[in-house]
This record gives sequence, structure tokens and C-alpha cells, in this order.
Amino acid sequence: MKGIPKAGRTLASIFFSFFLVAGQASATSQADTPEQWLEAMSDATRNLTYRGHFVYQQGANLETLNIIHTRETEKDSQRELERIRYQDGLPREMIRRGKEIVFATAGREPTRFEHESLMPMVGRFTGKEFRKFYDLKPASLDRIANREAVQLLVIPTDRHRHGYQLWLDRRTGLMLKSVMVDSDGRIMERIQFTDLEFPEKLSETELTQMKAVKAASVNEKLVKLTDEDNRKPAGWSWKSGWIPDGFSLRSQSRRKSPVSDQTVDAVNYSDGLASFSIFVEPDETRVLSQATEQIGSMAAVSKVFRSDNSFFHVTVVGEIPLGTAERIAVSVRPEEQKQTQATK
Amino acid sequence: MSEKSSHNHAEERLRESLSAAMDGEASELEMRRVLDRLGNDDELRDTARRYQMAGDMIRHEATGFMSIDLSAGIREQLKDETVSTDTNHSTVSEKADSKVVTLFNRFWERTGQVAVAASVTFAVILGVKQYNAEPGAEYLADAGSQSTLYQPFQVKPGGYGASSIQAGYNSKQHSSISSEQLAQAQDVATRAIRERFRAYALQHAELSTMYSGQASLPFARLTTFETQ
Repeated sequence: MKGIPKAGRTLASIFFSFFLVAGQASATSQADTPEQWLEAMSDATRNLTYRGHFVYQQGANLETLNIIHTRETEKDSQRELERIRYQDGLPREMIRRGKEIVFATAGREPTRFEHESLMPMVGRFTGKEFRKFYDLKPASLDRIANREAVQLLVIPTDRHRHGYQLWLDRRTGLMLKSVMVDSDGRIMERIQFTDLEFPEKLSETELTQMKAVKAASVNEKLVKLTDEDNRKPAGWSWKSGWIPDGFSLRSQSRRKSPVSDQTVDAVNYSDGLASFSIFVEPDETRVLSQATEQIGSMAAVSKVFRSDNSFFHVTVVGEIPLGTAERIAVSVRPEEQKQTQATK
Repeated sequence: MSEKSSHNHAEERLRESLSAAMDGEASELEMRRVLDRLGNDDELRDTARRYQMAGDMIRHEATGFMSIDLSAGIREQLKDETVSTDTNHSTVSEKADSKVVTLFNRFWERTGQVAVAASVTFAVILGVKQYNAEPGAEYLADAGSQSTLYQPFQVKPGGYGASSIQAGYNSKQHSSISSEQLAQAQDVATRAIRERFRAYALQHAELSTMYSGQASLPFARLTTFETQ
């Protein structure tokens, strides 16, 4: 009996691979441990071709969204193509082409983001670090959007992150459903596919829509994230005094502020599942103020602080507990403070 | 303030309200009461400042971060907005060209709950008074004594909120604040903050989606903003 489970598993994976459409075979059928499932989820999100609808629920609101995703080879390099369309309310659409993201809302100039380089993101769940901050527990099989789903409980080990209940497609690893809960077990958000298919190829129309590059108009808000910009001295520098353990720097850039004429430092941290961003910019109102808000699953904190005669506005947003976001925001300090008055 | 001995009880309550306001936990009614009184009670204003400083100390904020200042920008804007009582949102955003106002977006006009710290409103309100009083009025109180002022001050766990109310407490003029002014100032502050959060939520979604293993989530979360 002892040898059978392993052999059985191998057989099962061979068996499953028969069902996998050519070209989208992934390692997921061999995923055994919860960590591997999470890696599979991340891989599938990025590499597979899929098309479907999902609902997003937050509080009393329920919204339907449509997503198509594929990967294409262009000039020897691969890039992701993705489109998310909001099906309810004000028409909104997000299109991603590799490093470029365009977010358009009806009646507004689209916002365009361009990344200079993307960091590789492999092995972030299988590393030891992740397991320090989340306990992973496999749960029973389930069925979501007419697909078999593997259920996974992701339980935070400290108070600086939320918990998740994930349903991953048994065949591909793609996330079919996710429920985020706070430390009291309250549901903060729910996302769930209602229908999903893995076509071999997206239709020409879909591809054309995603690739049709709208000419950047003069008024369009372009947020370009270049390494060069990051090297330019800004005349101010700051540091965050406290970042919760387990979160590591994912990106750092300097961009035009969306709310003022200033340049803003944008820093993004992630622990693999949760992420938050810190934005620091010179403040123009010169009113020392602070505001916090829990907006659905997102905590948002805004705080103005002063360094000599300069005022800075710190904004922290992310899917982390409000208290944690607050603590991050108040820990932001100017880098070169005169140490004449020792703080005790 | 010669009659204050006969108002001991009322003073006590006011102080409690003030404390709550500083902690961002005052009800609107309480806040109005405090704001009304702040305008014509030097002693209370002083108490407010001490509460504030105690709060800052408890939050381990260096004195270098304390300040009393209002930019010309916000004062200009408040002049435009609070003097006339019949301004509605759309005319405000059309006529005023200050930075704060340009932050607004009509899309964002729906009301909702936002925990703008009481301090923003305080600052805005007191800024009005400051402006009305004397543009060149001195803002900074005796800076030397600031660090020595301390009063026991309770920070409620989880009570995030006001942490500044320095603006304009040195104002010499004691005109009272109308409820319209208060409402408008609150509105200004709330909408500026909301627009900021909305704008940065989009930036955050974009930053996160590049590194997220659940690619559909960061942008799905933005729906929260449109439906609030």
C-alpha cells in the first residue's frame, strides 16, 4: 500500500494532462503542497489564456466584471495582454499590455502607466518567509463556476494582514474565488468567477481591441515609471520608520502626483498576497492634518507632517488592517532631520 | 471670561467634548459646540492646544512636526467659499481656482462616511477666522513652552483621528462660526481627502497588479469607489 499513493499521484497527473489543452500545460497538476498551489495560482494568472466573468462583492455592493487574458510573443519577448471590463455602472476598462496599463473611465481622460522594468516574481510562496506570516491549510474540494476547485485557507499569524480563503482551479491553479476576512472573521470582500473558459486562443476581435493603441493625447495623464526618474534627486528624502514584518519592497518610483502638481514618491510593498503603497509628496495646503478611512477592503490613511519649513503629505493605501496602515503612515519621517534635539 | 465660575459644569462638558474632538470621536453636535466656543474662549483654545500637544507626544511625534500654519492657498479658498452662504458644490468647483478645489471632481460628490480627522475641519474653520482677523497675524505661539506643556491624555485604542489643531488659535478676532461655514469646511476637507484616496487607490491598484498573483483583484477593488 505504501508505494501506491505516490504512484497514484503520478498516474493522476498523467491522467490530468490528457485533459489539459496543449499550450497551457502547467505544473499545477503536480502541485501537492499549499505553497505549490499558491505558486500555481500565480503562474496561471500570468501565463494562461482565459476568458470569463466574475463578481466582486464588498459590503452591500455586488459588481460584475469581465476579464480576458492571454500571453503573446512579440519580438522574441513575451508579454501579457489583459482586459478587465466593469459591467455595471459607469463604463470603466483596464487594459494591460506588458508593462503598460491604461485605465479608462467614461468621461475622463484615461490614465496610462508605463513600467520600465518588472521584477521577477518566482518562488515567493515557497520561500520560508511566507510561511512565517501565514498558516496554510488545505480544505475540502469544492465546485466554482462549474469547475473543480481546491480550497485553501490562508491564516495570518500576526495582526498586520488579513486572512484569505481561496478556491483554486484544480486543473490550472487559477484563482476561482477568494474571500478576504479580517481578524474578527468579518468578510471584507469576495471575488468569484461565474463562468470561465480556457480557449486555445482569443478571438481576433478581442486581440485587436487590446492591442489597439490609443494615441496618447496631450491631456492624457501619463504616469511613466522609469529608472532614470528614480535616480534624479528630488530635493527631499524620507524614510519609513516601520514596515510590518514579512512585507518586502516590490517597486519604487517617482511619478507625477495625481492630486497636485508635485512629484510623488510611490513605494509598493507586498508579502505575496497583501500589498500596500506609500505615497509621499510635498504638501501645498500646509495644514497639518490626518484622515483615515476604511474603504471596502482597502485601508487609506493620509497624514501631513512637517520638516522644518517644508510640509509633506503621506498617503498609505492597501489591503491591510487600518491600524497597520496608520502605523506605517505615522512612521514616515524626513531622512535628514537635524538631530539637535535628541528624541527620548 | 469673568462668568466662568458659574459655568463650571458646562465648562467641564465642553472640555470632554474637546477631548473627544481631538481624538476624532466627537459627534457633529459636540464638534459644533466646541468650535463655537473655541472662537470666543481664550482659555478653551489654550486647553485645546495642550490636549493636542499631549496627543502628539503620546504618538511620539517630535516637536519639529508640530506647526501652526495655513497656506495662502487654503485661506484664499476659504475666503471665496465661506463668505458667501449660498454657494453650492458646483459653483464652488467652477469659480475657485485654488489647489484644494481643483482636487475635486464632480464624480466624487456623492456623500458618504469619511473619517476626516476633526483636525482638518478645525484647521479649515480656524483658518477662516485667521483670515478674517488679520492676514499677518502671528501663528506661532511661544514655541519654547510647547514641549513643556503636558496634560494626561487618553488615546483610545483604535481611535485614529485628529492630530492637529494648531491652526489659528492665536487669532484675535472672536466672530462665531456659522453652521454653514462648518458644513462647507467639512465638505471641502472631506472631498479633498476622498479625491486623494480615490486617485491613490488607482495608483495602488496599478502598482499591485504588476506583482499580484491574483491579477483580477487589484482592479476589481476599485469598484468600491464608484459604488460607495
